[in-house]
Amino acid sequence: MKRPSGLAIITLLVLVFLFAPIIVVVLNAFNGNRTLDSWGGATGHWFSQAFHDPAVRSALWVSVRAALACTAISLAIAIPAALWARRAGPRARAVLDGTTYMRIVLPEVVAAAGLFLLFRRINFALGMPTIIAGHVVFTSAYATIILQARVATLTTTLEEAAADLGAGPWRRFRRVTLPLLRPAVIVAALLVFTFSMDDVVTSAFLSGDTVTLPVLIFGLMRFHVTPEVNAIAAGVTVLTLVTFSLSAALLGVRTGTSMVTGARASAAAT
Amino acid sequence: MIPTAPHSMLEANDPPATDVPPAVRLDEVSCAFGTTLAVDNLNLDLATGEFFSLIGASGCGKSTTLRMIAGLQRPTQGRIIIAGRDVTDLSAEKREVNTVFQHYALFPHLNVFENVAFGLRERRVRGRDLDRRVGEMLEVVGLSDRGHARIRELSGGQQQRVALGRSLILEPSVLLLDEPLGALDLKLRRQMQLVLKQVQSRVGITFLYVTHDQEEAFAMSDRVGVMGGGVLAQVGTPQDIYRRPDSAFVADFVGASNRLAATVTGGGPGAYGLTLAADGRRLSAPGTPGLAAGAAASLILRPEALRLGDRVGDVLAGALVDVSFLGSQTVYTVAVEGCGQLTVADSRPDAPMPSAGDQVDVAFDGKDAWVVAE
Repeated sequence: MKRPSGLAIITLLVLVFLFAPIIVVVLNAFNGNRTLDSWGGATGHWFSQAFHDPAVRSALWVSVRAALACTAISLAIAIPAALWARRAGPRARAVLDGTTYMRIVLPEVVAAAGLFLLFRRINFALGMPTIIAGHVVFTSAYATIILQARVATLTTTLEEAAADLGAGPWRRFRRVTLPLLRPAVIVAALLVFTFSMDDVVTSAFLSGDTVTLPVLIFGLMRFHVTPEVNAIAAGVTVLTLVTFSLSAALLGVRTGTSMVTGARASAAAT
Repeated sequence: MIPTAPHSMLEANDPPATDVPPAVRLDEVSCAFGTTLAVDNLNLDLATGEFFSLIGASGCGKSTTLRMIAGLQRPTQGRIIIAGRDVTDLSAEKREVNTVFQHYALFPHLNVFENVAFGLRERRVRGRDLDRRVGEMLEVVGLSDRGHARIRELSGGQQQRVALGRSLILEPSVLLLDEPLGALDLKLRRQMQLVLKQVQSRVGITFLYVTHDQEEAFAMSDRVGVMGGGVLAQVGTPQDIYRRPDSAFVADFVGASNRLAATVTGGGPGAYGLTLAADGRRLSAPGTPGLAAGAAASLILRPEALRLGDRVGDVLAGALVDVSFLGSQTVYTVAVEGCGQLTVADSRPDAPMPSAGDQVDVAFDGKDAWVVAE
């Protein structure tokens, strides 16, 4: 048998390092031993307990609502920004790019603390709106970058053709630009939703009494790690995996090819 | 290729009346990009129902002119009048003109039917009326069975016909075509030229056709405009442009031409007296008006106006540099002392085949030549 190469060993170690904790979490979610000191036999009890825990349910609902709102707002910011960047002059473009990357590069804790102080200063009550605002600060930046990459592959020729055929600015956007951007819009939406769903730092600063799921888990773990926390984490993991596999399957078949042909069409048009 | 299907535009089309305003009028139109003047003070009238071609090398301003008429480019100066109405300040979607774009610019996310239906949907045509009209247009462009096809499944020629149908279905007063056959191979180009010409004479819409291919323009057009450096150098019938060019630039652009330097000694446009610079011989030839005695001029000789191995008329002696047999004609390159290399074309099936290096005579008649200003 061939001796495994150094690269293979490193890859294996990295994978173990990445996935071992997740596997441990999932395993412990089924651990019958309450203190998690040792394996106490398999049980589904913790899942049912977590699912029936009103605190968990309300936190999950808060997270989902925040993530949905965050997705909608981020796209509403990112799509016009990406389209505008195409026509902007070099200086305006530099300002847009600068502020976009700034929102990603800036340490999250700094942005969160800043927003926290701002809301306190203006006496704005912490809660759902502030959570969403805090998330949108960075999620909209990621969405903008994804959409800008897609917009860069489009030429204005198709929009000109639409104008030539009688479509005004809004109709051109609805019938031509948006459909061509759709793959990037879907990818950006998924990314934003996940980022918002599992954000801890910003939520911790800005949630007030409205607790999101990651903040709840963080709070539960401060004293001791219970199997129930493991069950919640495992549940969220499975949910994320299912969502992503579904969307990947959808995207891979449809938008994967339409991305390629779209790029080809716009390349041919230049 | 395109079946002669009945179409509503046929019945709607009346013969152009004499007092109608021009389909398109460009009134001192200029367009500058930064400091470059792409189009420089253009004046042009297109008659209703005519097939007009703008030809010129790339960058001569012909596409910019087209885009200004379409409303995709704002002129920096001048007015654009379509069917008597000043549309200079009107955006593209509000103009009664449609464009067939250079690379078709078909919508990749829509099928053939929806591409053709695009403009009608903007006009709120729906349901059965929409289906009927799109169906008729697909028949006109010979794509009845491809309505559900995706754009990327079509060949270049088919895409071209979708682009044509998408524009024609809106029954524009003027159809603008920007090098629509540029991406097709030669045989298909010839085919599509015929198709375009037939469609144009059938629907009676004014066509403004932009191309760098003068043969293509000649084959289809009622009139041709030659552009260079943003200026319209000459407008006329293909015969005018080819036989009676206004300038050496036009003569050079439309087809191969030989230019001999000469000096005008007198006479008028019907027959100028000339002295040939190469050997001082005197001859007489028609030419463009306005050449005064003493003016430096160019004698334009088309390759087919020259005869190899003939001694009738004016004869130039030279050495054969190259013989190219092209099938429909044989092309000779002859080096003549003081005149440079002349191109001679002979389309007779029994054209002589001398070998390179041979001493040959090249003969021409002054009346087949054309004089332009140097």
